[in-house]
Amino acid sequence: MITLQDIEIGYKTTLFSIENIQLKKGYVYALIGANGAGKTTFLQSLTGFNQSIKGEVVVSNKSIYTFSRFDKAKTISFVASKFDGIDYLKVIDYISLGRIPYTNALGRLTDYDKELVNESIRLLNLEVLSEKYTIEISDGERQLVAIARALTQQTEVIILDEPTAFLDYSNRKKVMETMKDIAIKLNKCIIISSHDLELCLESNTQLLVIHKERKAMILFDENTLTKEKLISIGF
Amino acid sequence: MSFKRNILILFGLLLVVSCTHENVKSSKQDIKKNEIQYAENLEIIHERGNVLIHIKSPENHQIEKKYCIQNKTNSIIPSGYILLKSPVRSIIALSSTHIGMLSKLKSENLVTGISNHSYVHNPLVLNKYRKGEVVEMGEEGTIPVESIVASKADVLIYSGFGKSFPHEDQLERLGTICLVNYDWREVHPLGNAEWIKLFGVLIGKEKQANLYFNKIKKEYLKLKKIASKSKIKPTLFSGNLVGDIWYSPAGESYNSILFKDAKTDYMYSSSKGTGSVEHSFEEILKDNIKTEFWFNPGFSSMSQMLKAQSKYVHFESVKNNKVYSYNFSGNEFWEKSAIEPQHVLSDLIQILHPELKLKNKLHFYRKLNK
Amino acid sequence: MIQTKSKLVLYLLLILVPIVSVFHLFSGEISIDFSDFYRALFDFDKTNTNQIIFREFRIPRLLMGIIAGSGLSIAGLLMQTMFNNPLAGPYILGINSGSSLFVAFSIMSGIPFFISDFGTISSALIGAFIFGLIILAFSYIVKSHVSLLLIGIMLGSFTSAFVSILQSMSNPSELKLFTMWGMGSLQQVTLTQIPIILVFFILGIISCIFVIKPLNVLVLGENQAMMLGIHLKYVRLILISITAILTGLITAFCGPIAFVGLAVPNMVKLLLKTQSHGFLMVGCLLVGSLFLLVCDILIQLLETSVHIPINALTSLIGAPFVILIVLKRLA
Repeated sequence: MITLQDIEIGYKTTLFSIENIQLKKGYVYALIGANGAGKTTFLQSLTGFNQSIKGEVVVSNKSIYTFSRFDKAKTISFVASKFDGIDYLKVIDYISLGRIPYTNALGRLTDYDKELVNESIRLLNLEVLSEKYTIEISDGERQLVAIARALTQQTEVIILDEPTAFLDYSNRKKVMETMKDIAIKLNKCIIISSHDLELCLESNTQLLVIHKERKAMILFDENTLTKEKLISIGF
Repeated sequence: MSFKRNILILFGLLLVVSCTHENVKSSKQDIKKNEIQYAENLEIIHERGNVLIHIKSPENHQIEKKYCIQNKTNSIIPSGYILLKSPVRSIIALSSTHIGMLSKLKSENLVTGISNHSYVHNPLVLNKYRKGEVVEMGEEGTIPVESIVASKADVLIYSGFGKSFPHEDQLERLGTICLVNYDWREVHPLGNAEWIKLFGVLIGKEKQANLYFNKIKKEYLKLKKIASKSKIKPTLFSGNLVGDIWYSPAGESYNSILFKDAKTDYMYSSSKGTGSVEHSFEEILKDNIKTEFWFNPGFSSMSQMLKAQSKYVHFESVKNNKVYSYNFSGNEFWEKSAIEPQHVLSDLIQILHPELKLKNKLHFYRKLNK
Repeated sequence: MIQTKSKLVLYLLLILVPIVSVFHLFSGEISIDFSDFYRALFDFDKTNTNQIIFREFRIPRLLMGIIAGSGLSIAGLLMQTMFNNPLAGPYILGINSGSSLFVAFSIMSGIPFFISDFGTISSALIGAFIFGLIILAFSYIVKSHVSLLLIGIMLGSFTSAFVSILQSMSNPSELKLFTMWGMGSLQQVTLTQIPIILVFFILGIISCIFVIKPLNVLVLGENQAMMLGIHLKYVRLILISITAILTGLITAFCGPIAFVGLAVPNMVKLLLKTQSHGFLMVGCLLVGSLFLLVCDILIQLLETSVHIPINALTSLIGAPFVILIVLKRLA
């Protein structure tokens, strides 16, 4: 789905390189690395909003830089680490904004769009919240709402930037479980950057680790790493 | 023996005569009080070798400042008076009316400082400015003290606003007296002109000043009498819009008095106040749409005026081209009109009362150009 | 997208506008009755003073009130969403400073080129146009909207300084003229100018239809908007252009009018409780007109005792309201 071949990731200087990694649909990949190793830069390159220093990110056999703005929005969605809510914006309206890449010039929602919104709400059990204002709900609920919006965007790739950073333990687990669920059920390629090593190991996700010494990104299958090994490689 | 007695008697008589003469002279001087007739903010009093000048506040007509000119070098200066040395030889004149008054006394050459040369009309003063003999000081609030000190002027005359001139005491110590002037606040046109007597006393031309004033007073009153004999009272309005407000002369103001003396029907002549009255444009239009004459619209050209405010076109006075202004000669008007009120009155009567067939030349006012 | 209750509010506002308009037409010291009103519109008698007042004074004033109130409010809404800041207003980019500077030149500089032929209206329009171009150029170069905001504020400070210098060099009557311009007025516009103002106003408003969708997304912030496919630079250019046209137009004919563009969009969001910009725009059109018309009616009513310039009244009412917004946000 995503081919990363002969790529150098960085802003002005190369932070790390990728020899050959394939990211497939149906999997959750946890992106792990030290601070400053280049996680954020990598995510920006994935979304096509930052040029990689060398090589191109290829999505479904097309370079990400050749995508039109709306096509890119239909292929990759992004969930930030914190959503503070917006005044006067209801949950259901917020989630509906995920359909923007598909609606007409006036942004009108078709019945199909509305059905997709409802589906995302159902999938994440957010029915109770849908008529509430995004300002009124809790942080954890808001994070799920943000994920629901990304789902509504119907993209094959969903990227989450430290989605559990501001959540308590039970919410963190919930988010990871939900993402694994979505990846499998809806056949999505999901990339989650995280500092929570235990959570990633517990959740049995694939691991994308930025090797500190080799300055390279390596893909590890589930169950092949222990926490100690992981720490020694990345930190 | 009889010769000695005769001498004594003669001597005694001479003594008595001279004493009486002295008494008569001093009592004459005692009687000669304030010689100002029309001006309400000025008093000039001759007294025991001094000329006392009282400047009064236009708000309550109480004496605000007292100046004294010594006529005899050993005369006693009363307390509370600022000494002015006379005759004054160099003057900073911050208002153009001051220059106008000095020029009537043929003494504008005494001006060594002005506020802004672009407001000056007097050719002599302008010439001196160009040669560098007259210094430009700036607007009243922003004049650098050093400029005044450097000019070494005897006197600085400024238009009063109720507060003293900045650094007044310092300047006095350094030799320049700040003389406050309220001519511009005088309500009666003759009262305004009468301030020429102050200048006369300052520069040692008292007699000429009195002569001039009496002459114009006579002329003014004569014109007023002629106008009063007219059988018609033409209607007029005055002023213009500033933003959303129309300012017209109030009933007791300078212009209103001129309008009265020219025998006219001015709509706001019974309003109170010596300044302006405010109205909305709608009110002015409603009151004056059919009024015959419009004076002082603030423009010298009809087309410019209508470009600035096209709604003026609804006035009958505009449609009939009976709009008059002094704006052609702005500087000249401000310099001279205060000291030639008889010419202003003459202009008004000439324009407003064609039936009187005065055939005088128009000094300041002209019909608006197209 | 919007609650039923809020829809009802919109209908109510829609009915209020013509009612308040009629009130506005008939308020003023000269009392005009309905027959004058009717004849002034359909059977104009050029010699009837009341009818003249009605046509030449009341109608332009009403129309300008509606145009200025709604135009500034819409511009304010655009700026508030673009900068994600409820305290933004139509003057935030400094376009208004351009008008102010050129009007200051035309009134106070004493340079013959600027006075006479140029007139206040043309000066204001040219000033707005030039500064609008400057801001557009910057918005093309600059990446984040915060930088653009800073540039706008700096432009404003720069022109203020220039204007101060001009003021210190001017004589009392010039100073007064400029000060009066700065107080804002709905009464300077004439009937003949209304059609062209309407044309540009309607152009500006219709253009807003095309930015409804990007505005709805911009609510999420610039980064999220980009991720959803919005072409930021292009949208920014359009938003700034619309704001420049509306603001420049209104400032040229009325002078600067404070607080309307800031307070009204916030009022509307509070009333309608939505972020759906289609509805917010309609709300701004209605509430903006009502707000300014009500202020002007108050001015008329108080005219006999005291003349209050329109800027003063909008600030008197608007400032406490803005304080309320700030407090509410902190809560």
